[in-house]
Amino acid sequence: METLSLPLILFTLLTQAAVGVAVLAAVRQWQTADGPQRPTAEWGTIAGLLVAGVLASFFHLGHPELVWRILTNVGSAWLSREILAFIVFGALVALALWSALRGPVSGWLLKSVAVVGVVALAMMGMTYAPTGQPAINNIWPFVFFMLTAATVGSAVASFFTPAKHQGLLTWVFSTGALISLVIYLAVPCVWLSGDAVVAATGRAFLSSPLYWLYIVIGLVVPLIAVARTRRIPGWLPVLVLFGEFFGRAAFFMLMLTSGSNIGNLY
Amino acid sequence: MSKRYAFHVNMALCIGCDTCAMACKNQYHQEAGIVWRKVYPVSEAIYPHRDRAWMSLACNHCDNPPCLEGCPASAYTKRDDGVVVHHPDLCIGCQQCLHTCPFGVPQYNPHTKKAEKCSLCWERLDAGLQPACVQGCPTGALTLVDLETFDDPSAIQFPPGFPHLPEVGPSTRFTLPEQPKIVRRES
Amino acid sequence: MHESKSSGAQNIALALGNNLSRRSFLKILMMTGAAAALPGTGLLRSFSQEGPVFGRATFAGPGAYQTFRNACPRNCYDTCGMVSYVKDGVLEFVEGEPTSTYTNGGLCVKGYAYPRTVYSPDRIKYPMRQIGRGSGNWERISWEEALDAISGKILEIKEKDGSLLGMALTKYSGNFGITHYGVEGMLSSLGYTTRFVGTPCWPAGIDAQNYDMGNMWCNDPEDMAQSKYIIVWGANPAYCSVHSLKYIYEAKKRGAKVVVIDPVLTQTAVKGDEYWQIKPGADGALALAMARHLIDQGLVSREWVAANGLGYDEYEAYIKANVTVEWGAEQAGLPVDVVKRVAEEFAAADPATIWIGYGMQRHVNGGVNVRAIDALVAMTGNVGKPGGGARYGHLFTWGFNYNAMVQAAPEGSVGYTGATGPKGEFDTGQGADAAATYTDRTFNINKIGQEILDAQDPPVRLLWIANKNVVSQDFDKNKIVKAFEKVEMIVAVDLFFNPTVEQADIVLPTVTPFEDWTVNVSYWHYWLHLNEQAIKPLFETKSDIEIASALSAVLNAKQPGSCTFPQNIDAKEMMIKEFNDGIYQLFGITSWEDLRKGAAKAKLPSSASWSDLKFATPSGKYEFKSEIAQTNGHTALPEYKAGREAYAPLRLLTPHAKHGLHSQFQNLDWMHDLNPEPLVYVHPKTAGAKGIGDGDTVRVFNPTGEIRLKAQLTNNVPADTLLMYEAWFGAKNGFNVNLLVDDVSSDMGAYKTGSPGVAIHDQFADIEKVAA
Repeated sequence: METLSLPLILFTLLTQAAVGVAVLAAVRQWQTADGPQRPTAEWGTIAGLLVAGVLASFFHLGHPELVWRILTNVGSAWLSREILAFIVFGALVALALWSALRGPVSGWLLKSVAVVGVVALAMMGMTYAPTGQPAINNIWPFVFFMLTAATVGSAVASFFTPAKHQGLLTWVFSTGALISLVIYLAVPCVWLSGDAVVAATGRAFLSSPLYWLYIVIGLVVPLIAVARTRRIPGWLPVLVLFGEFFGRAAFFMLMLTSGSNIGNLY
Repeated sequence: MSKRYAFHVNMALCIGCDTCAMACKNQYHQEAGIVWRKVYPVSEAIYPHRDRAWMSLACNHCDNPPCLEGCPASAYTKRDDGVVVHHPDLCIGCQQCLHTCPFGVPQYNPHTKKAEKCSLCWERLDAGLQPACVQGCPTGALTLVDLETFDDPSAIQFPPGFPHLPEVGPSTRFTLPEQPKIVRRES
Repeated sequence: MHESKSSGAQNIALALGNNLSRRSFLKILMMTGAAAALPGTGLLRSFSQEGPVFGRATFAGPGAYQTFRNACPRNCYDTCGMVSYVKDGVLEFVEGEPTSTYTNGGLCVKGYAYPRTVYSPDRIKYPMRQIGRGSGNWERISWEEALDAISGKILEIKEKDGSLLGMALTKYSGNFGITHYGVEGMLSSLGYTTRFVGTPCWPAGIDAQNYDMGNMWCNDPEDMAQSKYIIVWGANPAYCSVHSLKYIYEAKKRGAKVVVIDPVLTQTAVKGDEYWQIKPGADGALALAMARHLIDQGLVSREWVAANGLGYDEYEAYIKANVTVEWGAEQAGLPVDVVKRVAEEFAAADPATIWIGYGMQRHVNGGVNVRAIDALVAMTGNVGKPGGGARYGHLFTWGFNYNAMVQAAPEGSVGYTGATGPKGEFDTGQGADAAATYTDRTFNINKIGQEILDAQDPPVRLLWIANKNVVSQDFDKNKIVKAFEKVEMIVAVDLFFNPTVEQADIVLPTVTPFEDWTVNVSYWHYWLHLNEQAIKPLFETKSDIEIASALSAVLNAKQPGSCTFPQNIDAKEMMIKEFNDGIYQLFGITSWEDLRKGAAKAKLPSSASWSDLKFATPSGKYEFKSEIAQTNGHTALPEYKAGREAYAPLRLLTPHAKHGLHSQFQNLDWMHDLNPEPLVYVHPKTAGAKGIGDGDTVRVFNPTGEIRLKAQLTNNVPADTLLMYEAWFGAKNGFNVNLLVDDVSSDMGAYKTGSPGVAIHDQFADIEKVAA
């Protein structure tokens, strides 16, 4: 088991939440042609989540004073590309916040923020799909991150959504959470039939309290709550974030490396 | 590439004595807990006697090193002779290489807050000397070869117990261990 | 990850004589710049886990270092030459001597850990006194205080007993550098004292080879490459003589067959062509069986035994009357046809050799078993052949002056008036004064606990321990600790706070080879290595002879003439004084200075010992029948002798570890990174029957004591055997195999070394799971 990397858990969670809310803002605009209730608050929240996530990431670096070096290998390093994408995303978020202070945010800006946000998540998905971790050296991390963005994003975005459009958010949340549930239950089982390291990763997940806490707190309970009330209750984002925290902790701590199996059959 | 330096790990000669592991520590004085060259025991599923066959591995100085490709701070370079060097002065301690490397080679030093790994004793190579581990090996099981000219028919790239990643192209070559005829006690 | 915040750090804090923690002490030093003045603190800084850390060392280029010649003085076949690389007065790294074909430029896992030994934060830096033996309550004292207390005790003993027989020395193989025999010299220079004599290591085999050939003298191990058949019998060079393997590999490459005979499927065993899992102690029976088959098949070298043997006909008659191949094979637990086949192969090969391991003779019948194996080599005509021989060891290259060792007793000294024998295998008799009416009193080094308990007139009042970690390595640890209660003062000279130091009243800090001047040879290969002082002794450490010299000065100041050991010695001069013309001629050098450029090898007329077939026995022949053996209470012929009866369900083997040399090296944190904890190895069937799973904590116990540790399941060990490797894992780990090993004697050893050996591998125990 890897040591707990709190900075990475928070960085990924919070930035994915920021992207999620931003994408939902664009979707909401696209679907309803209506803006948010409190655009400044919404964009302020997006910006706040992004800044908090980036600040958390600094604690992961051994030498934050050299952070500028992180952009020097866009040519081949996904992490460089990811940071570049988030810088662009951050610039666009700042632009949108500045714009929100003056009035409704324009359609093209909303779309741009959303697209760049998804691109950033794609870069991030590749960064956390390293060669050394065979269970996730694939598209799954991107999928996981998009699902987090959808569920957390829609839950947070519901604060800034007028009542008449809550249905859309509720639908996005429920669909996202349901797909998450299916995928997160299926993927570890699929891993069980992979090679030695992948199968061991599957076993690690299925026997981990972190994983089950995520399933229950992050997905099952919220789904039940939403099913009953047909809307996203105010306390839901907190519960979802908690659950996501456990899920992300599982992702970082239970992921086995091929290097840890040397000498044994693969 | 003018040369392609690689380690030849002859498991038929290797006795798992850990001399190579300690020769590296002797040269570089790594922190307690950090070992650049590890002598891995081969499991009984592969060699039927526990702790009797070994795989001595430091860095595999790959053809397509995931550490180098994935390092955002460009702290890795691959020399003309194949050696993949880590540059501590450029390293920001993001630990990405710890995960991209499929062989678990880079390790994080909690005091310097940077990654570190075997850089094939490049300072010794440049002085015309053998790497510390190769010089130390008492049985000749660990040698430095040039893949441009290396021509040992017994040497393979992916023995059982080693991740099979042709696209990464680890340079290390292995000769498999042998087994004696065993006469056990009747009683 | 290992953060070894051992009691060493606490000891160091106490060593500094105040309540400063080591971290704050180092910080103060850094701030005042004084740290730069302390030798080795550069390296201490980069090593330290508690103080500031500055990353790792780099190779600064070949011209950046001063180089010195050193030698590893441990009790090891390989006795490597070393080259030490020093920068700014700090030992940065070591390498193997490139000019020796044996060392061949590389050391071993232990030798490469030397930089960490030298600069270990746990190293004893100052003389210290323990307030309450075993309490861990140490206070730093000055050398003056230490020597004052010790000299006071010496004079008190002389006053009380009228002799110094109440002062005893136990010393063995912690450091085989020739000048370290100055410890014996120190005792001699004080008067007649009590000496623990003998050797725990190899005495039974030494006596055996002396009975057979008149001396223990093996071929040059480098000639194994020429051998066509090699039997490695009860030796594990993959752990204990890594440099020998290349010669065995070369022989294999040239078509030789290698057979390994061992109770355990060792690392060496898997490198041979054939492995025999023999019943421990049945080696004699097996050798007799093989001899029987050779006799039956007419494969004995008749001309050789006729020309060079004495008593062969009687030996053959004994075998024909008492030994069948079937019986011997059954004793050994091996199939008859296999035994017959290998015997035939061995006889047909030319040359053929047997490497007789020290482990093999650590049985109650070890000595006579070696004789039977020697006989096998002799009757096939392989003694005296390059690539052949019954290889055990030699002392051929040890002909130094022993200047440090040979000291006269002070005038008027009174001693022991009984019979006495040799004082160990290195006793060349030079210390003995034929005309003296007094001698030292000698006790069995292997039974120190019992001897101290029994000693009277006088009892052992002052015990000096140097070059030996008695409480770790000697047998029946509990008995030793109990016996020590009788001793009034215990002085230990050592590097680390090991179990012996824990039982001492005063510890004197000593030097590593890099801070010492001495010269080294091996009991296996034929090379000579100089050991130069590469760095200044750290802190207040002193070598054994510097301690002797300082003690002499203090004693003579109190009582003129009470000690003849030279005062104010120069350590380098003492090293030079060990050389003589014999050594120069043997090694083909004109001066010790030649050794600064590299090692020298003995110029031998042949790589084979006994190549002229003039044996050193009374008859000048290879004595299959030895009258001396009979005089000494053994059978004249190598007859069958039964092993020790089991007193517990499972045999317990405690052979040498891979990562340590006795109690050295395994305590270092560098070594813990490679080998973190002791284990007991159990056969899965045996473990299964007792509900023990892999990694479970178990207790291993017998009437001598008990140990708790983790179990590892493997069929490398037979189902009726438990295996543990002997080592000291450092201050926090109470593991000690000698909690389970008693001091029962082997059959031989007293003839040439003064005491019989110990049947270390004739021990038995039981095992059970400890509830989690």
